[in-house]
Amino acid sequence: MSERVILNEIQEKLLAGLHATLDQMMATETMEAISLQGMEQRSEFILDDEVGGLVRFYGAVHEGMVGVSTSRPVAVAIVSQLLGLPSANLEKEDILDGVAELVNILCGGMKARAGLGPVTLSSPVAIVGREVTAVWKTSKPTLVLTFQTGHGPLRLLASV
Amino acid sequence: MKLLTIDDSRTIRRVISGIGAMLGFEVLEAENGMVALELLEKRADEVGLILLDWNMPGMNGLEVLKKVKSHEVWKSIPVMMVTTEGERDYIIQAIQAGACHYQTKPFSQEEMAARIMEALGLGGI
Repeated sequence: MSERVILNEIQEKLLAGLHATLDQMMATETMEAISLQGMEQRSEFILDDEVGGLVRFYGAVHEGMVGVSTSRPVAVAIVSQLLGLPSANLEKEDILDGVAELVNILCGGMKARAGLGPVTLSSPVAIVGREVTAVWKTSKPTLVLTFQTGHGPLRLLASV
Repeated sequence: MKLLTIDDSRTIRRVISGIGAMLGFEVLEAENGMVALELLEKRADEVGLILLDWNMPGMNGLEVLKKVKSHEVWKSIPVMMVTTEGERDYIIQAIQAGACHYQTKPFSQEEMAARIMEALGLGGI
């Protein structure tokens, strides 16, 4: 985390778009305050928390992936607020679908804000499970933004 | 009068169903375009507003919108796009194809409730 990450122009736009969309989403749908804790760069796109989700985007000029990775308590808190249901009433399927929609909204908002041009989004993928680690080999580095929520850390991943 | 939400996300369908219930409307749900069209074949006369996602597996929202707006009976049902696609080109395509409102995700419950009432011609809440 202490190493300074140098971003190119499109990475800056992408991260700014993601950050703004997450802020908007947390403010309007979950009413939960979040704060950016740090940023790091990794060579691989890895979802290694208990809950993860990703959407791929691809166009003539840009392609990449956006993901979210977090603990079950954070995911449950967000989905609970989204649905307006007590967290105790949520089933695994609710968490999967909620996280898929979360990453779908994040990628869609990022796309519009970053001005990526004509870009198609894939269907979202969500993963829930303590023993699951998913790795995607990409030719581009993965940027990871870590946010602190009221229930623990939430990480946004972006590779472009 | 009922609302019809067409979205592959169960989460969004449940959120919209909750908002519809809050406003006093029953909400019909379809998880994709094909299911929605089958539902409209049987129950179009009950539907007062369609809330339509853009990115769905199989038929996308724009294709569903064009099917609805080219149908002799269904074309009178107002359609609101509810989507993550917030770029100008998408909005123009949807309006040109006959959508009456365009709501991007994320949205607050209050915001969506107001848009639904507006789309139904019932004013703000």
